[in-house]
Amino acid sequence: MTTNDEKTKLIAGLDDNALDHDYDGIIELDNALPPWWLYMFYGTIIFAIFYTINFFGMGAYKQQDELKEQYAIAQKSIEKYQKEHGSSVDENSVVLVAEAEKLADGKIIYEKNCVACHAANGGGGVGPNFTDDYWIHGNSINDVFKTIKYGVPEKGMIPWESQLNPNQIQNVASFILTEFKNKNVEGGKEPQGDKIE
Amino acid sequence: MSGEIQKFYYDNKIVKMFAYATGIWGIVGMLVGLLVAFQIYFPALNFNLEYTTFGRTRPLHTNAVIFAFVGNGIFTGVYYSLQRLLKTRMWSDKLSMINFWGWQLIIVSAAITLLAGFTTGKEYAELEWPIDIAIAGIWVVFGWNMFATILTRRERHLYVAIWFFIATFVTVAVLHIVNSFELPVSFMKSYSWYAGVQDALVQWWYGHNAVAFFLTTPYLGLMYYFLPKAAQRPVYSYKLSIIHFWALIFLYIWAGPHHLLYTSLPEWAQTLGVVFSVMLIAPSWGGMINGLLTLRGAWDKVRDSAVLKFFVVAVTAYGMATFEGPMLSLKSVNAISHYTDWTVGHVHIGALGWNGFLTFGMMYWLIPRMFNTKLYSEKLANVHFWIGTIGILVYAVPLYFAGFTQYLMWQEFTPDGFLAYPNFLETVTQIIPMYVTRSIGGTLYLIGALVMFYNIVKTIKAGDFIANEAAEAPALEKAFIPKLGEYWHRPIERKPIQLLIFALIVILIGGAVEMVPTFLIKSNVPTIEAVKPYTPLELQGRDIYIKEGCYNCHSQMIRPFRHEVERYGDYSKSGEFVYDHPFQWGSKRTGPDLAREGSKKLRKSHSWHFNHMENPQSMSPGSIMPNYPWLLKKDIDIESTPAKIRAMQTLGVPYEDGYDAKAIDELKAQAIEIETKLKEEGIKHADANKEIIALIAYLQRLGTDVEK
Repeated sequence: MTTNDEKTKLIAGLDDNALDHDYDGIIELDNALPPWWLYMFYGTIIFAIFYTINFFGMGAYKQQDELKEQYAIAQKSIEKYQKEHGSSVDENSVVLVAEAEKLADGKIIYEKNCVACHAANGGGGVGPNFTDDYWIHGNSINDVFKTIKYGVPEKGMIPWESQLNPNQIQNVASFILTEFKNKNVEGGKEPQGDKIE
Repeated sequence: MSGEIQKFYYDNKIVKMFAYATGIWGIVGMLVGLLVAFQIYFPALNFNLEYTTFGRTRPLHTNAVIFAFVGNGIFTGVYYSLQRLLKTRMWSDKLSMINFWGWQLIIVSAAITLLAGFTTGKEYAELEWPIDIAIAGIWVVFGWNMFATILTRRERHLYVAIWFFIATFVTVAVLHIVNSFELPVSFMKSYSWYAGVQDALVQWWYGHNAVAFFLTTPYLGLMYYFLPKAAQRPVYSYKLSIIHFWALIFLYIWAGPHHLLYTSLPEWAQTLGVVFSVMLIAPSWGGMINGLLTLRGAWDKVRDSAVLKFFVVAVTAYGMATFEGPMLSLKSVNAISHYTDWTVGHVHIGALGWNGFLTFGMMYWLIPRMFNTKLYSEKLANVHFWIGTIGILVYAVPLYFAGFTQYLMWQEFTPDGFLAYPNFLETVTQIIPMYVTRSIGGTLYLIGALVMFYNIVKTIKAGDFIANEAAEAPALEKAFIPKLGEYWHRPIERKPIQLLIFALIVILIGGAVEMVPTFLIKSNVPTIEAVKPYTPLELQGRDIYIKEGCYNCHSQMIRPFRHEVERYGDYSKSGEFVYDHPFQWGSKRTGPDLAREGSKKLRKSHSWHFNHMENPQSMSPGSIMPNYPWLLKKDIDIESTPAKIRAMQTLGVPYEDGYDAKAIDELKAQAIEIETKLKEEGIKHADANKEIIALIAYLQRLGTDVEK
């Protein structure tokens, strides 16, 4: 079998507009461009002109404005939420919570975000030890809340305010202060900061 | 009146060689693809070895599939069809052989160097400068041989397939040369000539048009030959061929910026990327329509012929991908798809469906003919078809889900205004089942290819190879009188050099309009006073970041969306990247963005990074990032520092005069500083000479300039 045997076979009625082109047995038909195809092409060209003039880049639109708009919408819905559910806690209004449910939430948050540096038993590692009596940034609930919220970037503790909401910070801070108190775990990190009884 | 009949022989040997290479490299490329698919959810498969880690294996996969599998597929089809369409043997058997062996040598050296960590850090253009030069040389050999063959043809007019081959040749040459402008620092290390935004624009002009002119136009040419041959039906519309050919090559070249939507690329350039992508639908579909309508009156054959079935799915996949592409280029859709697995799913519809299936169909058609026999088993070919088709679906569908799911998680806020999934890892673990399913799809596809391999080997064994296939045709008469009232395009088809020049002009326009202003008009990249060049240690760290292929999983480009700004910090500005040779914006977030990794908001301690690179799961339980233990063992290549500083100076990075002489001392001082800090933090075995120190220095620098 050679390729020469495989010439295009024309079908009467279907291929009556065959051209006299013959390339290695391949024949071409003289069909017009399908109208729907042509109109689609024109349509996309019109879209392109319209889009270029009216919307992006060449018009007044700036992608940064989209960001501003997103923030404006968010601001509104957050305010509405806070009106209905009360404002979130902050470092002044935070309290040490004792409800089992909230501490359990704190435990989950701790395990997900904190163990890498402070160890599951609170003994520390990259970060300081929670089970001894020494504290670098204070051990009141307000202090701990503040440390978590704003972080200590120069020491590698990131600010968590964009990752944890205030209630979550309150829960995890309460968990830390409750769970690890006076545990003095074995193999924990050496004391850092000031002794606070 | 026609000239005397001449006898000549088609060179099938070169076609056979390229066909074998296509088959072998195809299976290699798919195997490596399978490896990376497994590695993504089972990172221990890097075996704690630098050579087999995702950041290096993934570029090996993409390069192998694009340049080894499809590349050899192109040459197979071109060398077969070109001779027959021109009624002549290839002009020079010697050039054919140089083309073949040169290309295989490039592939082997690419495989070795990519795994060894030699990379420019630019996607699909990772190969270092000596290999870039070799590619340019071999590509010219191919073009030379092709053109000389065209000029000695026995067919007056060039068929549409050859227009596509010519456009492919000239455009790939331009793309490769412009994007590979790099300054060698040493053997196998160079810096991109361009920086930041400009590098990004050039890279994606290249990247997108590698898809257009390496994966699409040559394969359209192959479709125009092999599909009507296999169906024995006439090409549906000559007029459509003309319009869609010229429209396609003109419009395609503009579309690159759609890979950079919502980045700090100037918005006018983004706009061009959007609108030209949308205008591409019709020209792309022109090829699909001409392919599918050629099967009019032959659909009964499709039922019986595996070859035609492969072609139908290939052309349909092409139509789907080229509709999806323009949709993904709309900013609102791109906001969802970019950085997610949606894009990966999209490209695999093209790679597995269009390129893979067209290649398979071509092989099943071509091999029996060259071996003067019948296909060993039509039944096995049908089995391959069905396994492959199911494989494509099982591969792609989960990735669409994965992309969508992950985006939805990224952008979700709690009602009181916090990210619902602040930990990036949560959004990754959620889609791991999709990754598992994808790898099953990939396995099916590979099994199909192995079935073909067996079928083809059996066919070859049963056949009798015709190395030189006899043919005859009249010589072209010197005097040629065109027919009166011939179609306007006919004269161009008689003049290959003109066609080449026209194609060149057409493809230069788009690139020039986008690049020239981005390079020359200062306002396109507003300067930021606080942004300073990297310290020598950071520069070395950046080179390690590039070497390890971190960009394969981590972006460095924060888009102006609330959820990205909340997660990663302020959106990225073009002025922040002016010293980045090459840019490292990335295109996929398998891990989080790192543009501001060192910023107050995201900064971790040195020891966190140290532990994390040694074993990511120790710091980030459940992480799918592989371990990089060798970074703790290998020494920084300190001696290369002065040369690197001088290269950067040549590229316009404002290090003071004579800084190269001080660079090593400064590097050591900063390294000691980090070592001391690490020891303070409890890492007793920290060693200032090790690569990890440089990498930490680089990561901690990211995003800090603008905070000053």
